[in-house]
Amino acid sequence: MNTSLQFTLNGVSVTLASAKDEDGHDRTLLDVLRNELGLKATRLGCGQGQCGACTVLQDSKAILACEVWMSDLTGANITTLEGLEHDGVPHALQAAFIDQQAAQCGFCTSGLIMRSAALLQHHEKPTRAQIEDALKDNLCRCGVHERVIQAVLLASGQDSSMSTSTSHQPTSKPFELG
Amino acid sequence: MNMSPHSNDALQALSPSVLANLHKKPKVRDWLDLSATGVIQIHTGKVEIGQGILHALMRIAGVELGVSAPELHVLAASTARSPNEAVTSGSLSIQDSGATVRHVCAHVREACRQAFAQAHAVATHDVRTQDGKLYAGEHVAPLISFITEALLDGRVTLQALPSQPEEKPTPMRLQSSAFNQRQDIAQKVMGQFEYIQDLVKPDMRWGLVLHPRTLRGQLRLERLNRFEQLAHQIAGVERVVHDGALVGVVAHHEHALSRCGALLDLETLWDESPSALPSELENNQNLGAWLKAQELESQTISREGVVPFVAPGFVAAALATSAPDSSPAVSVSASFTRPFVQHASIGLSTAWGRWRGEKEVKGDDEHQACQLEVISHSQGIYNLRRDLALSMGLPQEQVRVDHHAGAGCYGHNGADDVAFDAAWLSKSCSGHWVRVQWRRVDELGLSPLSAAMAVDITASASMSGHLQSWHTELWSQGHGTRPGREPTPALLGAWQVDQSAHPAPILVAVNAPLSSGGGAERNAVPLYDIPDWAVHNHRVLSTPYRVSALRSLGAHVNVFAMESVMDLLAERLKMDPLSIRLNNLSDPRARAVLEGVAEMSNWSGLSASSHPESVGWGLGFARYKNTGAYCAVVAQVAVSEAVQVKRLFICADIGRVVHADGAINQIEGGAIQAMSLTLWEQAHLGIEGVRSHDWEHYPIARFGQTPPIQVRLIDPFESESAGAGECSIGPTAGALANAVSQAISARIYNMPLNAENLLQSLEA
Repeated sequence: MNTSLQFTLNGVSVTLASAKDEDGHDRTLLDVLRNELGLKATRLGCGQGQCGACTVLQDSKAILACEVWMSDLTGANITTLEGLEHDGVPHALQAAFIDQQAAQCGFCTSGLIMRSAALLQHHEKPTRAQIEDALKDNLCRCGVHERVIQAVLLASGQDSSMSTSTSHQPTSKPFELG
Repeated sequence: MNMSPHSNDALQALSPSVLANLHKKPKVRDWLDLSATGVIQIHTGKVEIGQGILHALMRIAGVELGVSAPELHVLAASTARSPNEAVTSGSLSIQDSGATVRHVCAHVREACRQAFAQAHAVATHDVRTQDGKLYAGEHVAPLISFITEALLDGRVTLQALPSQPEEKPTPMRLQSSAFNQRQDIAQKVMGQFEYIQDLVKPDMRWGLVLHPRTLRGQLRLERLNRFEQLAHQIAGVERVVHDGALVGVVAHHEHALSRCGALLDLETLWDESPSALPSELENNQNLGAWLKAQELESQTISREGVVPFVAPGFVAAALATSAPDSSPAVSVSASFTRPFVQHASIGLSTAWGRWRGEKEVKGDDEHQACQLEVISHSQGIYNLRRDLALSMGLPQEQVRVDHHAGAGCYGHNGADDVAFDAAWLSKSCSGHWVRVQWRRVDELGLSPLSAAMAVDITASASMSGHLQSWHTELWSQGHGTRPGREPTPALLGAWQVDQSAHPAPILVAVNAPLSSGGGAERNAVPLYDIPDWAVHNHRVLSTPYRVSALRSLGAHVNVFAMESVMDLLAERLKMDPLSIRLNNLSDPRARAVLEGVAEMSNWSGLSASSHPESVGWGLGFARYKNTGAYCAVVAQVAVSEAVQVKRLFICADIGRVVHADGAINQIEGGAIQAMSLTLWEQAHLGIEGVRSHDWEHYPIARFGQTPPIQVRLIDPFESESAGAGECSIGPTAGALANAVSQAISARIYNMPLNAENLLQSLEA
């Protein structure tokens, strides 16, 4: 029986010999992306669909790669972080995340960018509340939430400094110690 | 622009941490060398844990040498080549490693300038460095052409050197600096950063190591037999091994391991040990009582230093006579608690191990071949190496640990434990690299917890708002069970394997000495000017659950409690919370951050105007460890059924700033993490171990719950740099406590400030 599986990944047609392992057990998209196809930007954070670190796009919809079975993806159109850039030019979200330095450890970053990419496909200029609602199932432990919100606003052509400002006041005068 | 370092200000002596580093590693080559392609390589013992330290060190080196990024690289730490700088913790990396790198690079720059001056018969003070080149008049040469073998083999001078004067910050230079963006962030955003979880090695094996859910769980062999049979039916499983309570699976792919892990959902392999676990901790309601009822080791901290425990009344009576005004006008007594909280990284602890026999190692031409090689995201690779060597019965020279970055690390997480797991499992398939990764249930269930704490404070102030006395008693397990510090290993797996070969008893957590900032008592000593104060620190000696270091240690709870009491006193005196703090702080840098945050948040306007019911503003302040960065926070909250944080304003003085945006990022992140810990987090514990082992049961801050944040850095260029990563934790907790109290007109003494505790305080 032919169990091969074809789907589109980052704009390229991919054929797998099988959606299943040697025992006939279905494999997750996350397992296949990372361990079969060598695309490592999609991350394993929990494997339980609770943290969003493995978020990718199916068409324009955000899905969790740790929860999706390969056998359900025949003919599907999947985009991962590696597929966002075009001809070496970073996606507007990637440029904005770099501009805002919207990461620390960066482990949740891939999922956040993919979830934001799905949002921008449905809302060209999302409000702060829409961004927060879209990202609420993607966890970040380093606490870069505000920078991420500003990056998504910036990527959608909105002023990214409307609610946050930081400043740095150098002074060469030492303080006198009391 | 004047680029001659000789015009710089008077020299300051080298700091003790730099001298200590240079005593251990005196040669230039220990800290800086050249790659085969002529890239300047900086060696540091500090490691990247998501905080951007490698970028900050690169900036320090780049500025001192006048060299920019492509020609300069900071190497990840390895026991094969890096200086031993112990653990990357306590916000000390910039202060210790950064200062050493700065000095070594200044030494190299000066040596190159002198050699260049000699070669061209010009005066040294006419030689300047820029863009990787040396210039004097019409003469120009690459800096690296003067970094000779002799220079690298020479000793670093112990004389203080001036730093590059062009580093004196101007807002424009800091804004325009090409160094401003972390290279690793661009790689992470573009999907090009390789985490330890992403490595692949030829002919590697995939490993799973299963632990009991409690420290003293016992493996049931008949259940192991059933597990083994089922596991061997899974394609790709190579072997199942066990030792003591540990069970390991070696497989040819990760998918097989996922299926093995799922077998545990059917039947656990261990008898857990309920007798050791206090059932009263189950609902987090009797924490204070439980902590106070344990066997304790107590000490007292006062002006005289740290002494054996002196009963609180005794100290108060002894010192009362020395107080200028011995008739307190108002006094406040209050008790605070925080439950056990969890590390909760988004990534899974991962390590690689390769074990080779003596013969294989001898046949290997590779430099420094060792019997055991480990790749780890540990915070302290040398400490890990020592404990691995101890637990495996190897000399330390036969163990090599290389650091490779993983997901965010905020203290002692599972990195060292999983490194033991990988080392242990790799013994069963000698010659192959074995990758072991914890599952989410392990990450949340096995990583050390941060200790529950109880803090009682009695404080008094005069009617004019001057503090007169301050007495703190605190109860907590120690805040450190890190590897490398005790005679026996501090690695979870080492405690759980058969003990006959290499005994490794379960260790009781200890506190760092107060001179290093302390542990449970961190920031319990007030920075406020108080004639009569004492802190009584009771270390809880029972260990039902393993605890260790989490970002800021006891400072999160101590500052929460202290800043709550400051507001309680202000309420009693009908004083403004800012005024009472400024009244009692003579340190000008402390005053400056409070005044800064007041200006940012328009504090005086706030206190003059009336707020809608359920909205509150609160202030919190601390100097981290009383020796590090100063930080003041103003929080605005709205409280309905739960607390919603609307705004955070933060003003910090972290000494001389190395990388402003990086520091601001750390301060913001610390504030959000502190908000999460303070408002929502608590470990749920049971006789079967940690119950909150997934994100549903251990909620952390989410989008929609986090506020806009404004950060202002005061940058006193002449002050020593202090780390930024932990200074906002305590002040944020204090500011939130005070803001919530104002919003609901009742105070919450027990963290988390969640709906349940909110309701309790309103009923009280």
